[in-house]
Amino acid sequence: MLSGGFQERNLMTDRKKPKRVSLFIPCLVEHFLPHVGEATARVLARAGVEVDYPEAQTCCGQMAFKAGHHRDARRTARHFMEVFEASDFVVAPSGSCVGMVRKQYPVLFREDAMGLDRAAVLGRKTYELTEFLVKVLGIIDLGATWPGRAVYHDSCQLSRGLGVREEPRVLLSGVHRLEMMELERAETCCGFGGAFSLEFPVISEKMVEDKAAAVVKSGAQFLISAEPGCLMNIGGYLEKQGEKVKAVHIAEVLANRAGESWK
Amino acid sequence: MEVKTEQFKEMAAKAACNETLNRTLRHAGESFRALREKGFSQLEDPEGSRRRGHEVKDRCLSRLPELLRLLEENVIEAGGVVHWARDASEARRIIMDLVKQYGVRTIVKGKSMMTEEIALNKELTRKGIEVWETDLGEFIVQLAGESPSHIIAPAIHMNREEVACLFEKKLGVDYTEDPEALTMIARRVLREKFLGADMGITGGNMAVAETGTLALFENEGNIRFATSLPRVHVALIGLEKVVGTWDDFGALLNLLPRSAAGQKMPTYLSLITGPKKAGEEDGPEAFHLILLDNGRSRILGDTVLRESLFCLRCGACLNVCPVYERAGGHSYGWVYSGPIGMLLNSALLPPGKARDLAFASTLCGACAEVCPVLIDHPKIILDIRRRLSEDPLWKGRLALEEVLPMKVYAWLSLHPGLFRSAALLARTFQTLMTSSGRWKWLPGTLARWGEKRRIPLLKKPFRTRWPGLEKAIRGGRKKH
Amino acid sequence: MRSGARKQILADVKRSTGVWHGEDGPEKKDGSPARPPWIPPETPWDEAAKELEALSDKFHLARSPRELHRVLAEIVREHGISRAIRWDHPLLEELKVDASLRECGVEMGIPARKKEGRGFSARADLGITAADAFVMESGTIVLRSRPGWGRTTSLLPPVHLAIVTSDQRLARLEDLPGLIRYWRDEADGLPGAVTLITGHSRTADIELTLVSGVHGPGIVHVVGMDPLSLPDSTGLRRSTRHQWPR
Repeated sequence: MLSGGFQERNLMTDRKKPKRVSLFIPCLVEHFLPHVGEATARVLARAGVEVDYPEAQTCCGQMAFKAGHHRDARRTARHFMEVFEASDFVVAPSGSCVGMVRKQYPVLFREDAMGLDRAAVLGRKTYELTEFLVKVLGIIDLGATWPGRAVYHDSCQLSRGLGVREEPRVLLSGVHRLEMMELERAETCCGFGGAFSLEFPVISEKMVEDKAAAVVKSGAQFLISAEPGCLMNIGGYLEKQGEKVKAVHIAEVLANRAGESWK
Repeated sequence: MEVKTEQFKEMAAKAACNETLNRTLRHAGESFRALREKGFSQLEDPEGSRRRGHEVKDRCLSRLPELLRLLEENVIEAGGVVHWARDASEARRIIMDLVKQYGVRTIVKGKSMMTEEIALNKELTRKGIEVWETDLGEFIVQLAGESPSHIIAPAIHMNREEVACLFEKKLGVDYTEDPEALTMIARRVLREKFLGADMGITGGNMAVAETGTLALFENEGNIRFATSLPRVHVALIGLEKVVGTWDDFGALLNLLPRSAAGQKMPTYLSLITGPKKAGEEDGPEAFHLILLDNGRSRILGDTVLRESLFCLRCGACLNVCPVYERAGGHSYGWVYSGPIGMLLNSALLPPGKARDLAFASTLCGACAEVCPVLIDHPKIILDIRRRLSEDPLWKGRLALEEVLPMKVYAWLSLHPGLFRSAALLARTFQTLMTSSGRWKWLPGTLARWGEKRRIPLLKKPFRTRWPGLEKAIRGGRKKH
Repeated sequence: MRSGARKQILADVKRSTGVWHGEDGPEKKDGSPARPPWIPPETPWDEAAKELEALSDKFHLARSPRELHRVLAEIVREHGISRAIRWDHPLLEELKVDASLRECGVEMGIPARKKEGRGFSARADLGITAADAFVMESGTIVLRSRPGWGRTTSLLPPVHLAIVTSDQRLARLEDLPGLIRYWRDEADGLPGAVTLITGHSRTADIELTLVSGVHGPGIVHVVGMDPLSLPDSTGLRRSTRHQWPR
């Protein structure tokens, strides 16, 4: 997808825009990819919302939940729900964490009516970054620039989990000087799966190997994804194998403007 | 069938390094996926059809007591006999009694996962009965002394050279690698067996209570043979195969052949109602239907696991699973493999026996996306994981090093101040343990991760950057 | 002991499923269902021809017994048929199938008439049946097993030929439930086997290589005929077709 000239293509310019968005920073971003958090904040600011960051946030509980430790996950989730209780909107640069809140909190609190209620309220106002920009704000062009050829990798949690496939693509098509290439089997899992990559290393490696091969085959210079885990997995593999392809988060791409260094 | 689910990790790792197997499974997956897509694209309303399939299975399972009775009544009225087996050993005993009753020496079998569940062949062979698998793939794995590795294509893990050697050795024929020639050899050998067999044993895809009819789907014709030539036909089905009406059947007919191989119809669909009628020259004199529980009545009452009984055995989930593609069917260690295998093996075997299977998933959801009856595999897998962690019946012994890091992290997550301090501590540790951006030492599993990937470094956490960031955003807002 | 198993299983299942609060099922017979929605006999056969072609099988249209004879001769030639079996069926009698084939040098046998026996069937090159129904959407032949209309006629020989008349066709697979119910009511119970044949026997179990004719026939020929093309005296017109004696 080629980006044409810089055009204001906001879909609903006279729509009353939300006022406040609370940043929800996933653990992997917090500790390993903090610049992705920064990019997210800048993108949201540029989109015209007021951004805040509830400092008491720690973790959404996804890791414990997926390991089967529901009791622990519930405690963490209650803390999380408390932290974001007062927020109008909660936005995270990760499909898996948003999926946790929207789809798995109701499972976690299945037998706790009050928790279930709070989870429902929170779920309705929690969004992944690209879906928030496109579906809630109606923005598809942020005036970003990113010269080069790139492919987009769909994370399982974002595409199949939340049904978010078009939004990232639409946003990328608006990025100036960015040439999007075809990625074979873009929706196939990259093999991260959190603890899976540690518990079943051989299979995980085979999966990331295939994914990396597809990325290299596409001729892209950049691998873009909206999922921090996938980026660390595929990007980490590409780097160790000495490939030139750079893995970047979509927030970084959308935050980038010609002649500006925000890093 | 022997249970080897505890060896999953080992067997899967080995299979993943087998280049030939990799290529085969990858090619098979791609082919089946393309067929399925074509098949479903021909439906007017694919999503509606899947929802209807889900609804039919849900309703029929909810009405199972009534439907079982009705099925029995109608099978008996049609001249058949109905047996009830609580578990594998009871089922085997029923079959052995029938073998004795009818003086059976040779049995021909259609493909049936149920007969694998009850380990029937071994028992029959032990008692000196000649048993012949007649589905080509099953015939091949039987000769090889192996078990099937895929629901639809049992011998998919073997290449033509292996089959050629096998036939040469076990059947005494000239060596040939040509699939057509090999198939014709099997046809010749098995035809002789069909003509001389005393009993045909099949499974069943569905049993329609409305008329007491067993529905059998196939493409080869071996099931037609097994149900037309021998004197006795014994069909073994799980309780969950029963549907109420022919309309229910129709809804599932819409889905099964398309989902399995992109077909509108299987080549042969045999609707069997009792034995042959007076005057017929082909068909069994006696029809025996065995209804097997083997844990299903228990699963039926489990609100989460129950959905795994909706399975139509189409194999679509296997064909999209990236883990199955690399691990192959045998790694799953029991009758069922792939995503549905994770569910059924976990549900039917003693709780916790198939522990590794529940964790050998990235929860990518490709399976749920293609399931014709909308089974939500990831949801069920997550609940199995919950039981493995918190349900005394499933737990078993959990290793400390498996649990401790999670517990510590979970506790820290409740205390933001400590969370921040812990991060600082971790970064200090990192400074000590790295040089020029490379880790010098890490605990086992993390180090293993770093064999093929660059291990990420802990950075100054986002929360420490926020104050500066906030100013920049607020200050620069006017420009934007 | 066996009834103990039945009792326990039903009890276990009942405990798990609880009480069903939904609608009652229509499984119990409540009045005769309608006649199957046979499509008008004038309907062209194009869809059937297309389906069979897609299955790598063959469709032939025979507008008269003479054309049928030509088709038979062609098939005998194509496959080198020297021995054939057929159903003991009024349509096949009336169409003088035996005479046609003998003219082509084929040895005929009717398995139902005992002296032929299974040995003959097992050595036959061609099996000829009529049909009880045909589904246009999928090119599916529907056969009921009856005395004289054996299951193995369409299974043992490597070539299967089915003669389908234009007045026994259904449009879609979703018409099957109605057909089955109609047959059940008409004959007070279904036959021992209803076999639905869609194309020829196939497998891809060895390296996913498609091979035809693994156990059943390797090719199916469907001949479409209009029963109105038959002489009136046969009494085989539409109205009597589905009440053949037996």
